[in-house]
Amino acid sequence: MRYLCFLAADPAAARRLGRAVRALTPSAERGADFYLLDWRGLERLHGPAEAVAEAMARRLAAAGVHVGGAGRKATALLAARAAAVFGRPCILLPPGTEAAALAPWPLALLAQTGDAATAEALAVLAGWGIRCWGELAALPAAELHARLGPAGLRLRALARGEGGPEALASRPPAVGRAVLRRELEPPLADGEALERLLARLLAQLARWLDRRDRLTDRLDLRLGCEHAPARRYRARFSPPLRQARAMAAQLQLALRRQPPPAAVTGLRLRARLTPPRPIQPSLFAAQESTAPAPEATAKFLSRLAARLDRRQDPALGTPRLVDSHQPGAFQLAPFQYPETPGLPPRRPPQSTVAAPPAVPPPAADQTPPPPVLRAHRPPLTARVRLNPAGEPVAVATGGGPWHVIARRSGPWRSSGGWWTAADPAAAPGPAPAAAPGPALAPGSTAPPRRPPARETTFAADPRRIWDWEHWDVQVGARRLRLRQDRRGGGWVCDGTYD
Amino acid sequence: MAALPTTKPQLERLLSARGWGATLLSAELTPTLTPTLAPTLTPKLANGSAPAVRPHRGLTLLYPAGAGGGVTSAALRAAAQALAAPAAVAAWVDGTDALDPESAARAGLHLDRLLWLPAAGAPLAELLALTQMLLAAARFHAVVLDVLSRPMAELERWPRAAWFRLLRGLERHRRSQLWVLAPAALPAPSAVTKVAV
Repeated sequence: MRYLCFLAADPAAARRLGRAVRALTPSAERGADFYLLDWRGLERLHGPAEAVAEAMARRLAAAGVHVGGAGRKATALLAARAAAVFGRPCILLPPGTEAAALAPWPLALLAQTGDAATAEALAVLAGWGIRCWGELAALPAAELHARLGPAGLRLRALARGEGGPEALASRPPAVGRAVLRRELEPPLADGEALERLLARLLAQLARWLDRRDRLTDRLDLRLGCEHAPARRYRARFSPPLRQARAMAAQLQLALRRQPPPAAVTGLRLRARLTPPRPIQPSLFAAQESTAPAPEATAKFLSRLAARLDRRQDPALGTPRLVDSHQPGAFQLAPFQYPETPGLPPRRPPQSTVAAPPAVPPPAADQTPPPPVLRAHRPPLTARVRLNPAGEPVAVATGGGPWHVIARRSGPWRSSGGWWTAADPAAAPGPAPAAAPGPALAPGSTAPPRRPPARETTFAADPRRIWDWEHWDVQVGARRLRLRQDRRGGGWVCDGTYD
Repeated sequence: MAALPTTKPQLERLLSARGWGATLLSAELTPTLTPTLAPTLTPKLANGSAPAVRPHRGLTLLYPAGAGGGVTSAALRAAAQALAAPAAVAAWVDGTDALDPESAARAGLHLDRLLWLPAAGAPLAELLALTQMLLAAARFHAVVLDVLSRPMAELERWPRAAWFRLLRGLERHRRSQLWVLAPAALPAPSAVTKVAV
């Protein structure tokens, strides 16, 4: 038995457990609610791991401590969590029995422990109906890797009792919170005084973060207002930082954009903590500073967002494709500078540029370039005439004149999201009476239907139910992407190929 | 008697038609051409130069040569080419919220290193100010300003001085490339390389 895991049910148990574990060894790995001990070398001091585990379990069971033991870190942690779930003080898995013991246990045991990739893989497995470790162990490795990537393979190895002792990181991401509260008596009505107070609090927070070697990537400010609902503000930092001035600058921007409606009676500042990330600077980039200062980056992005003056959060970011068959589905994630960003190369000044070298025209591409859609957001309403075969033959977009469709390609049908209950129309059976338009008879004209504003501007919700039929049509020299909502009957133009 | 020009673009068109357009520009702003960053881009330069070149000052105006389009594809390829360098970042100021991330990914763009600013609701002056901020930051290898689908009435109010501010912003750090996607009718000084796609 190489690893022992001690799981505490609550903070009081964790404190008591901490004292007991420190009596055994000073080098225990500490997680959010557990201690993990590598028992190699401790046998000579304390005896076999099994005996110590059972003794500790007996001693601390009343305090809400459960013990797990196995040859791998993650398995020991799973055993401790299983002990808590099954109401047993101690579960020990001798080498060779891990796979058989894990087989009936639920996969959800790992949900609180793994990293983001593991959590995502577990969510996908739950969607497939894979509930326990035995079912996961039986899945073919290649197929699993094709769908879930390395995280899927790591989980499978864990389920089969394979892999090294560190097969799965047992340490959860070190995320915590720091909260500062102030009651203001009398209420503060002056905006500048509020900003000065915030600056002081942020300086205090920065010192606290510095002492604990932590950064913050998000600040939530809640202002209690006199005779008015509380106002909330949020500032995100990418990359995380702990510079008080940069944090204050972002919050000041948010406050000036949306001042509190009344005098402030109290405030609560909550910081989400992240561990510092080590960065290896480039050895040969001493001439120029390659990485923008984090506070400058955060402030710069905040100034851009303030310029955009959008109330949505976030207003700018990185588009990220989501794992969905829904056409056009994406999310807008916070923009992250690369950890070692390189500045763009500096062009020589104009006076030193020699005559440009002759550049041969590039060879024509052998493969046609992929089509690029220029999206219409919100989609343009469209009227479409169909031929008897149900194919579009003429289209009018945005209330414009009719155009004959010279070429068409389609339909491509896609549907999804019906397995969720997020959409009220998800219930089986016919759609609600108000939603559908008149059925399209061949040769008829589809009535225009106004789509909801900014339907897919930032993120197409993959949980939303959709049932679409897409057509690519050529009108004159333009190529359009048309979409019919088969649940509602309306046609829209999603974009133009450009 | 023909109507007198009332707006600056009309005046510039009139001067250009009479062959006086060059007098508005200083000689030092004549573009110097260097190899393009986008070898797959095969533009026809409006000033008659060879293809596959970009202006030394790093400002290129891409406009549609016909109704067939291709401007967005060209800009995506240029941005993808700029992002081919490791740890390079690009910014896309989207004046019409027209960027399709799926198409961008298909075109080879590293989405994780793209800062997208959807700004369909922002006035033109804000778009220009955002672009200048991005250029002044000097951290972006490529900046794209997309006003292709903006109403022409709004674009006619594009101040000519804005072009020179953008050029100065590029010249100050000489680190970024700026690609402006605009309709063909948008007037621009000759210091800006105009590429019909």
